[in-house]
Amino acid sequence: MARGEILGSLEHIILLALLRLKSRAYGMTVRREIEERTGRSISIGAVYATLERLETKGYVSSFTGEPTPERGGRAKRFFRLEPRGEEALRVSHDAIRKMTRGLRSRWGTV
Amino acid sequence: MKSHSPPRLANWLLASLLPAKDRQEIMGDLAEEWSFHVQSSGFGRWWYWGQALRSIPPCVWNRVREGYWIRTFFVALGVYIGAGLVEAAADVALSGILTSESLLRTVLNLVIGLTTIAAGGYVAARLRRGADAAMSVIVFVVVTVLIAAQVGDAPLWYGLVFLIVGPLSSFAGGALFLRKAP
Repeated sequence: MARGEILGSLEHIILLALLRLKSRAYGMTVRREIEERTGRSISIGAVYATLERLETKGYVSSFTGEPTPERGGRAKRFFRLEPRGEEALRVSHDAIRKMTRGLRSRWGTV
Repeated sequence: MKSHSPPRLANWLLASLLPAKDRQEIMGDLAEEWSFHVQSSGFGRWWYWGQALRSIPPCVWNRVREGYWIRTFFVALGVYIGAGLVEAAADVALSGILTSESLLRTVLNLVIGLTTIAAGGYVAARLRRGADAAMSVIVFVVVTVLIAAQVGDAPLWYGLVFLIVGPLSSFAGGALFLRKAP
């Protein structure tokens, strides 16, 4: 991650979802994890578009699983958080933590 | 009675418009979520349509950024020019038989034009996924410009039929290829 580059909010959330889901991370589980935890309705297309951008940056990698009948014979594409992605997540999270320091009285939960 | 399969038109849109790289994964994920979580709920079809319509723009935009749609556009333009040459050759052949004022010639031109566009859509989809959709846009834009500029001596109804049915013909040609494709 280039010095000073901060992840976009959706990139940040999707990397956190990969961290939580570990080996179960593919499009549908990532989408549902985000929707259930944040209440934010998100399209599967937006998830893939963001994951592909992150893959281009070298933050995540992907591999194809086995096709299953409930998917109409289509294969899953699993995603894995790479060390560069984890570092980007740490740097971005650190920046947000520093920027929110001292705002506890305003929001209560920070 | 509840339907057990996702909306077919939404699936057709996804198959036609999603870039090849994303298509299988996205359609597989939607099918899986449909079968496990959504089908039983009352708003399942609305949910599926919402996902389909909201999923296409970000994926297409990703491909635009990677230059995918620029190449797709040029494939569609090439096929469109090819279809135009075939249509022009047919018009030259008809001019030796029928006068330009003849209604029969206008109708035959229309049928030949729409058939060549449909065949072009088929070829475009075969050459590159999404090229049939790009060709539909090209047909729509070209016919709109020709009508607005009042080029040629064809009646207005001829232009309007081309404007509506022309883009659909390209889509239909592409759909025909998708049905045959494994």
